[in-house]
Amino acid sequence: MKNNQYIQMENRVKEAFDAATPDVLDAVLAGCEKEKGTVITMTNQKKSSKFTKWAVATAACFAMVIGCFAAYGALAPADKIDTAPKSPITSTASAVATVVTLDVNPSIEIKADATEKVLDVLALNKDAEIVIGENDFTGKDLDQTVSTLIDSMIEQGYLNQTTNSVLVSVENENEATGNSIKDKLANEITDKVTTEGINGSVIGQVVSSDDSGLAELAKAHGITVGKAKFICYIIGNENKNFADYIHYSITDLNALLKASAEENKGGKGEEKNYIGKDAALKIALEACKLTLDQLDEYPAIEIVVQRGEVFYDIFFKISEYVDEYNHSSQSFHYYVNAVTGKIPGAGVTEPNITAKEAIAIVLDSLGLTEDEISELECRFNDMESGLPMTYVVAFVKNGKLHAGLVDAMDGTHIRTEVY
Amino acid sequence: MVAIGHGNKEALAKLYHLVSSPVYSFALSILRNEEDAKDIMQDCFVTVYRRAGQYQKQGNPLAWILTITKNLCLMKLRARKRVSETPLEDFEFTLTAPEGTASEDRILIEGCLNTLALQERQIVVLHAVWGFKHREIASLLDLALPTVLSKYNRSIKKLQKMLE
Repeated sequence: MKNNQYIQMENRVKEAFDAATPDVLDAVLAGCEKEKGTVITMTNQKKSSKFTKWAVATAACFAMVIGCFAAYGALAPADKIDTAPKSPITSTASAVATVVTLDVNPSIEIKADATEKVLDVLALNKDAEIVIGENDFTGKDLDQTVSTLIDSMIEQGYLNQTTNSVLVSVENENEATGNSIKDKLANEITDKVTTEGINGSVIGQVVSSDDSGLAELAKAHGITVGKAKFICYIIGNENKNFADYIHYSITDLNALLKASAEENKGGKGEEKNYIGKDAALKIALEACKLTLDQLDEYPAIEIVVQRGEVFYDIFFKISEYVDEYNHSSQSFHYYVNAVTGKIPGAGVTEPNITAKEAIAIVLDSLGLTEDEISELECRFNDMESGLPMTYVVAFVKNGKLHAGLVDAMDGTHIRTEVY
Repeated sequence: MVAIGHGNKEALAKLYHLVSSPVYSFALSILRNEEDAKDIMQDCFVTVYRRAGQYQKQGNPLAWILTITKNLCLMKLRARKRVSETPLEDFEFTLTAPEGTASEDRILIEGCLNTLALQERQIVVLHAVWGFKHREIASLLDLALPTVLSKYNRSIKKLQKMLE
């Protein structure tokens, strides 16, 4: 029971602060109006959400490997770092003391002098060009520049609740200085994303220019040295293929890192955040009304990530043998959410638009007709794979492969990429 | 929050009337500067307006608003640190505004900001003005519940003594 004197004091404190609070509602509303009128800078391109990146990934995968359904977590070509020489946005004769790379999907390199004033800001991929836009960061403080770039990533939809991880890699000859800058920038970004209501995850690391092996690895795969180091850290000593990881976003790599830690966690089941492989398999088997002893062999179960969420990727087969001339087999492929145990899209199988309509939507958006293109193919991705229902419309125009994505539920033209 | 997310300013105004005092008092308890706290309050509601569409319901929306307030305050502190090295607690706080505030209220607020330590101020404001429970405050400030309870009791006693 609370003491009456306490209650009185609490009330008095509340009343005092209520009375002392200035009224700034008009200024707030004016500020909101200003925000509303602010044209999002940089570009008039459509926001690039993680969904669209997935869609492009699926398109690319579809175009190159028609029929291969296991495109989960596949590469978005836009993620690829362009290693061709770039014209720096700014250029000065000052010596570069620190190089910072920011990786989300946009990858940006910032060069700064010893006083942490920005010399150059380089877009390392197309998304980064959108993020940087027309901004000139010459002479600005490094932390303010990072803050502005993070703001832009949020505005452009590259950083949100589902794509919420930022990798900050700092290179400086002096390791202590590098660490200090890394901590400062990581704090700045954490504050920024939290303030924007995003439950973000910021990974900071110091990279060394002495590590030529890492630089070569990064160059060979068209990714930043920072991302290369992060992948190496995730793979550790395990015998895994580095190239398999380069197409993951930082959010997915981060989820993979956590998933790996989770899988290795000991203790009782209830102490773990993930349902575990056995439980996931049980859910998958229940979904297709089979039992373990009906399967040809024990299923292949792997952990995969997509849009920052971790899934158990389960594949199994059953074969029915009648006689030497009559036998059949059926394969099953499920993604079971590692936390919720749900199979995404279960029960939703019918698109709202037809393939013909999807083709028309893509061609209309490009001002093309079927007569002007060749090798037209359209494929429907249902939600069995755990991904949004889309049509992938692939065709060739002027010798270039085009892959367009259309939301199969509402007919939205998501994006068309040219390869 | 849904209505604000759709750009409804009336909904924002309603929210403002509900939580402007908590936002301001928390900012003031950290910054000990009325102008800065006023700026934070303004920035906080503009941020809420901009970001409400992306807000995903995760328990109490007040906690989200508090997080925004706290982070804006931390950014302000960092910016302040860049231009001045004077430690925050090294000056006496005097309430100047707004006009019409009863002298007793002024004394109480000044006492709260001058007598109590940073964490104590935050705990008192979060409990008395925001209405958070002690266990919620423990979670929000990353403190143990007994620590919150003892700091709260000590703070109230200090304020009572000050007003005697």
